[in-house]
Amino acid sequence: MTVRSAPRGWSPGPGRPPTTATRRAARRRQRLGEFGLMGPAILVVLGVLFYPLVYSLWLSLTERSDTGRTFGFGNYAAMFGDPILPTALRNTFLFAVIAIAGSIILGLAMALLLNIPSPLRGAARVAMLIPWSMSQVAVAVIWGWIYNGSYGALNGLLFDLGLIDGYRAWLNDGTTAFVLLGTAFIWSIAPYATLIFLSGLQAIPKEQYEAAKIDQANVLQRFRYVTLPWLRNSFAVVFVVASLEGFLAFSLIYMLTNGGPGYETTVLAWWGYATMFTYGATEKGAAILYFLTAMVMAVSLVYMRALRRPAV
Amino acid sequence: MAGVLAGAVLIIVWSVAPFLWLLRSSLSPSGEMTRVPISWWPETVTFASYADLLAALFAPGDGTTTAQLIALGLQNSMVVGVVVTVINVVLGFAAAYGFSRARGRGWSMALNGLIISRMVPMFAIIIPLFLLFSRVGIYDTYLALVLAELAVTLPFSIWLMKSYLDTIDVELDEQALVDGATKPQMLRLIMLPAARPGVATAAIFTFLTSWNSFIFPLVLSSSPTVMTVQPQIAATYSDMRADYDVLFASTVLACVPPMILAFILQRQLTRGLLSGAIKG
Repeated sequence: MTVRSAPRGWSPGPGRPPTTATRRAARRRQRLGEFGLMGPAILVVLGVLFYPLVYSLWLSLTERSDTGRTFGFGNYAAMFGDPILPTALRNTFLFAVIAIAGSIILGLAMALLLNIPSPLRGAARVAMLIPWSMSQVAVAVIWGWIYNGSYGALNGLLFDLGLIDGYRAWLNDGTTAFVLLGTAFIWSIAPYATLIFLSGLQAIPKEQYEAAKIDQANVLQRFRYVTLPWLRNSFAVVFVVASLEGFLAFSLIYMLTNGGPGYETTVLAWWGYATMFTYGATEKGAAILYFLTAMVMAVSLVYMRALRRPAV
Repeated sequence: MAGVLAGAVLIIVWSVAPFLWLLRSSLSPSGEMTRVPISWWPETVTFASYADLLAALFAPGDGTTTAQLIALGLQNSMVVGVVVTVINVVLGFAAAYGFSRARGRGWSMALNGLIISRMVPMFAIIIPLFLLFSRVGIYDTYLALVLAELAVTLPFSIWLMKSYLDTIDVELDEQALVDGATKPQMLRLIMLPAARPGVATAAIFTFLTSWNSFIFPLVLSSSPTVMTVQPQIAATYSDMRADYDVLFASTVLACVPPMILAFILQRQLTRGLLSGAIKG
């Protein structure tokens, strides 16, 4: 490496204005270096993300037969004709609704509470990092063990409280399984929403509340006319993230219910995965997962447009 | 005030209790865990499963016992996580700097491509990656896992670091170049220290994402010498003959690195989350 001057401990010296010529030379060097800087990362992203994305689309649009591959919409037709589709769609949307409602209601409630100074505030914020940092696999192990039909803590609790007279296999009932999966899911994603809402709440200038108090606004009015408008962006972020999480929920279902009982907790992500890796129908699996991808991307595009709009 | 305190207690219990139950179970012998009705306080506390796991970590066997399998998984997660993080910081920082300073239609289009790639769910690429890696012959290798993790972490890292670099005055880099620093020197000595919080946040997020990743290693690896800890835990969990005490101790251990990182990251957490979500 040739060193023109030793930059060790270099600092921008004051009072040495660069000439226009040297500045232009520096700019030219910068332009030439651009591809060297961005190229490697761009090539990696193209190779491991965009190429597979296109490959996946191509896969979903082809069918294998003895004579080779034929092009067409057969996989999509098979997907739309499958009696499982309405169930999977309904469950996918239900999961998104659970994720959004749970994040917004629980996340906002926790954030409002943690925004009030109290001796336990710090401890509560640290405690929330436990579910936040955990992998979905760990979440599944924890809640699967709590829900365990033979030795689970849920059974133990309800039994000790006298609410049930014997241990039950909770995940064997479709509706109960849905509620319990939803609870574990909310447990793991609500802290994220809380952090987003908290940072939004802390950005609200105190004068806003003081002015509202002078105008004799009560707590609810202050919430409605000061807090909510200032949280607009936080709401949007939580909405996007929670719905993506909901649409793509997989690990809990994979580990706790396998989409069952029957197809009652089958979502698109699980269905696509199982179609490919359990039933070996690669192309149909690709079609299902591509359909899911299109839905997710459409949703995020709509939200991003909404976010760009200036605050009312 | 009493209401606020009660609320905080409720949040703490709700967040911690399920994990404490796991911790308690990991410290009980198997026989005690499967007793009905369950007892809320442990009669015997044993660190046997942790001892097994730690022994396997330092003297990894061939993966015949659950403890050995998990220990291999923990090591593999560490290797993949570190490699992915280093690549993210090196390639991602250079790219972030480029995107932060570059002007021109081509680059802004590439930047938009990066934004879109933040919205691609991994389900969209898992099947092609599986087929591709199998065909090329790198299925079930570290390389396959590293490449797959890069697909989801690199665009995010670039975005995160770019948003930090955007706040640094362009005059600073021009001045450095005018003073005779080479480009790599300028990046390393001037930009890297100035953007350090952003780089650290990106690195920690990358490692967290890779460590907690489940579906990629589930699909792209199969042998214990490559498979990371998350699918290994999932496999143990669904095994009917599982050693539950070892399984729970493994889950606790697998939670430790992310918890430490989350704790370190606390301050930067929200900024990182926001920039990941809004800009992404």
